[in-house]
Amino acid sequence: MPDGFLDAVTSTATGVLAIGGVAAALRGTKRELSERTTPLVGLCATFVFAAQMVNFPVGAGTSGHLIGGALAAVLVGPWSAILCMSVVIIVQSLLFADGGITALGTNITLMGLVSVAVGWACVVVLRRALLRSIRWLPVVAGISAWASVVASSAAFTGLYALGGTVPLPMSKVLVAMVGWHALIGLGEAVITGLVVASVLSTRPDLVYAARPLIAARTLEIRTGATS
Amino acid sequence: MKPPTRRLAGVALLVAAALITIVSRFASKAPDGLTRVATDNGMASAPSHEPLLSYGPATGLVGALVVLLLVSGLMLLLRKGR
Repeated sequence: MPDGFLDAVTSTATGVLAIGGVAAALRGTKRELSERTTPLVGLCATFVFAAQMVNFPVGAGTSGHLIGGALAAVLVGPWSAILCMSVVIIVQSLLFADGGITALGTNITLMGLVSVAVGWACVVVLRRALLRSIRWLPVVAGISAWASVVASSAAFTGLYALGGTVPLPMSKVLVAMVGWHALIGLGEAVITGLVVASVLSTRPDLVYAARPLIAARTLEIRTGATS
Repeated sequence: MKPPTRRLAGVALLVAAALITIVSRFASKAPDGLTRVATDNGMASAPSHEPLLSYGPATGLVGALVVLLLVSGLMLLLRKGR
C-alpha cells in the first residue's frame, strides 16, 4: 500500500499496532526457535520476498502475488512468520519504494499481523477438526492461505472506513476488495499448498505446523508395535 | 533417507533465485488487486519516496540477500539471547 491512502491518525495507530505486534513476535520467536529450524526462517523470508516479485494474472486486467503470511506460519511458526513478513515489507519499502514509508505500519499490520494470525488460526482449527493424516496438511495450508488473503483485504477495507483520505461508499469498496482478493487468494492457496507439500515430502520434521501430527504418528506406530 | 538441511536450504535458495531472475520476467504487468480497487474507486495516494533500487533480476537478488541476512542475523541474535 502506498502513502496517502489513510490519514495520519489511522497510519499512526497501525504503526503502534505493528510495533506492538513485532515486539510480541520477538518474544514469541525465542520460544518457537529450535537449533534445527533457525536457518529456515531466513530462507522462508527470502522465498516470500522472491515470490512476491512474481505477479500472476487473475483476469480482467488484474494481477495478484503471494502474500506469504500463512505459508510462513505453517513452515516456521506464527511468531517467526510475523518477523519474516515484517522484514520483507521493510526491505521492499526502504530499498524499492514498494509500499509507502508512512504506510509501513499499515502494511505490516495487514500483511504481517492479520495475514499470519488468520492463516495460523485457520491451520490450528482445521488441523484439529479435520486432519487425520499429515498428507492433508498442504490442503489445510492452502485453505488457510486463501482465508488469510481475504481477511487482510477485509481488514484494509475496515481501516479505510476508519481513516481513508477520500470518502467512498465502503460497501462498494468491501465487495471490490474482497472479490478481487478472493480470486488472488486462490493463487495464494495453490502456491502455499505446493510449497508445503514439497517440504513435507522431503523433510516433514522441518515443517512447524506438522510437529503435532508427526508426534501423534510416532505414538500410533509405537502403540501398533506393542499390540 | 532424509536429505540434509543444508541441501534443502540450497534448493530453497536456488528456487528463490530462479523466481527472481527467470520467473519474474514473465510476471503479469497488470495492476494488482489493491491498485485495481484504488483506481476504480478513486482512492488518492501520495507521491512515493524515491527508490534506492528498482526491481530487476540483479537488484531483486540484492533485496533477497538483504532479507536473508537481516532475518538470519535476527534469528541468531534471538537464539543467543534465550
